[in-house]
Amino acid sequence: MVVVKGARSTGSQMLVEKALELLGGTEKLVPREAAILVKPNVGFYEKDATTDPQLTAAVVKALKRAKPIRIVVGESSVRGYDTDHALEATEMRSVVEEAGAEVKNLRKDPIVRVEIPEGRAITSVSVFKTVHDSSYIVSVPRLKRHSATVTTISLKNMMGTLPDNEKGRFHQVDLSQCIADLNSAVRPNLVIIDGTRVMTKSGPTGGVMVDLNMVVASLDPVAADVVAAEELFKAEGVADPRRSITSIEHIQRAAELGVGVADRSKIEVLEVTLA
Amino acid sequence: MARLGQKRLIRLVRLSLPVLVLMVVASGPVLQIARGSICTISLGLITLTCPLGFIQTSLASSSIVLGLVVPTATIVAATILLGRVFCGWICPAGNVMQHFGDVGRSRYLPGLRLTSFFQQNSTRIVLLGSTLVASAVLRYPVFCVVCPVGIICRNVISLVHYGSIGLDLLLIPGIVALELVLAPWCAHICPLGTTLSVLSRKSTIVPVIDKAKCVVCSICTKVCSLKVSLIHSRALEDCSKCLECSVRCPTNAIEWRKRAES
Amino acid sequence: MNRREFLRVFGVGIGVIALFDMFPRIIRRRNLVRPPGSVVEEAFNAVCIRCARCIQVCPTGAIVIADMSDGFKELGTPKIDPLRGPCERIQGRCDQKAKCAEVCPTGAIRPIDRRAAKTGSAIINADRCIAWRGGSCLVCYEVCPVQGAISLMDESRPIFHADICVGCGRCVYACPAQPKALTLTSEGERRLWPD
Repeated sequence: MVVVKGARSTGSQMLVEKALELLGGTEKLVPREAAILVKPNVGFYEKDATTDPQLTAAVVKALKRAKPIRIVVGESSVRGYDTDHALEATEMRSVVEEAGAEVKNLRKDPIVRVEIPEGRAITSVSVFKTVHDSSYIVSVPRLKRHSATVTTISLKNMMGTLPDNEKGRFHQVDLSQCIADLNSAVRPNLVIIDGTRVMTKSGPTGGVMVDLNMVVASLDPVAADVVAAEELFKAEGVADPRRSITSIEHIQRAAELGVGVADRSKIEVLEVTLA
Repeated sequence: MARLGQKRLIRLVRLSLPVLVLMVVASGPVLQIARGSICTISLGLITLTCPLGFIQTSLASSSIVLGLVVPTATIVAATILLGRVFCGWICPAGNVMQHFGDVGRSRYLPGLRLTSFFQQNSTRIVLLGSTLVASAVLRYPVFCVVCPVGIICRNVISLVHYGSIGLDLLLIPGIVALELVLAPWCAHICPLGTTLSVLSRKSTIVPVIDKAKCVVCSICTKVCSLKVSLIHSRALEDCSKCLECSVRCPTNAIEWRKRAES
Repeated sequence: MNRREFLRVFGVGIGVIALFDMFPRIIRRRNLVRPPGSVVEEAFNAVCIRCARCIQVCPTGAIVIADMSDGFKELGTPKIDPLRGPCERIQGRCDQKAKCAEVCPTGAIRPIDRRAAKTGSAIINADRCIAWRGGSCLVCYEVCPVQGAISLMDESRPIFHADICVGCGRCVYACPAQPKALTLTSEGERRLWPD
């Protein structure tokens, strides 16, 4: 678990490189000949509400050093938003394609059923084929508040791998438990949280943007969410950030399923500030 | 002009051109060939508008849409010059109607007085006139709602764009039924056809019989789907230049010439 | 033409007018949600040439062709169906200019400033709403592009404010409840006056 902070002038490239270096470097983290899926948040048309394209490109560049078979940057936007337009309006498509990765509108993918043996609310889920066919998943969310789930970070970000009717089903059944169940079967291998600009007070759109110039990286999505949420609450001036996190249901349920560790006292964080 | 190959070619073009037009309409902005439907279509910088639609909407809204004046005038000019070529070569409903007209001609309900009534020129003028009056008084373009061309185009577009068609398609067999009971649609009822006929009175190209070759068999009159009686030079303004008469004439007696000053 | 013929012909004329007057009364019209920048309904039905260009050009597929059940006068004219897609005049592919207004040949749909565009309002049926029934869902609140159109009671249940709502229909499209808890009505729509 690494938290790298910098100044506005530091730039996302340096933050990402440092974070991955501290985790051991992509050559060591990523298995050989991996089929990588990078899953940023391109759920909306606004840049504030979505992952920074430059940061995503930096992640792509770092992952290339691990010599994968392919890197796909994929997303299926929030229902009611057109993924192709979102990829264009946020400039994610142009920036990432320049960095040399394939950008995919997952909504056009065929759909595959995946079993969730330990699922409590759902025991199987439909995901896009590209997701299923990927051997290494990198969740690259933007750190934001969320009206229904308190925060939306790497765990919630995985909802972008679902077809529209499946997203709907999650809300009908039990959103928090379904997010936990999903992550138990479609677990991100690596999490790089875009904390360069974070959305405070309310979200997933329309909140107050704060420049934190931060990247949180981890191999444990639950722990990453816990640490990132704490940073978010601190930036808001919340009285007891760690206690607030215990009320974030989907994180707690994911920990219960063994997706990761939510107990802050058991999470080791290496924090580095770049000059 | 009656060689089998030519006859087949002309028939093929006449049947496929409306289908081609519909395909262009269906492809819409996807293929960027044309935009719109037969009611108003844009090919590149050229826009064409149905004259009857223009008149009806102008009457219904008590205003003239300036942007449509040139598109309408283009069709009007083409019709004045060439006659009812739209009916013969472009209209997608026309092909269906013409076929049933042939059928209906032999199966009119016997003794129905309405048929000869609807074959009078005055009747179709009144039909056209009353749709215009209705549009002005009722404030909507009444014929545009039921026009078979419009219905076909709109359903093609809705089918291609979101996979559904409407109940208004039932109006097509309804019109065909009218045709069987009353009189052939294209020649005697269709207000758009009537409009184009009025404009075609002085069309430049007309079919002309070479009296030397003609054996007065009247096949030309029998096969004409727009009920032009070539032998008697009657209703020439209805001629759609579909070429069927000249193709079927057993002695090649029909020629297409510039209208001579008489 | 003798008198009998004249009467017959006159009768046909009157008959046609009477039929076209009768049809709209028999086939009852509904208040349709029209594309943004549409003129007032009377003028709309009068001037729309039913060419379907707006249907072809709408990037979200929100505009569909009104059919028989929408009314006889309205048959063939465009209406917005949020179940097909939202209207993106306020936010999205048409936020620079409305594509429908751009292609409308008769001015039934005209360019309108983004801040003035309002096609109607969304209304909620709380009996069907997942959040109002105790579940965890705020999708409408999340996708709404207009600050304040939807507010939250107890941070968990959506309240709709028709005066702020612009009628884009995104919430209706995204609502995961089955059957949908939201509908788009023409309530509060802003229409233009033809001059």
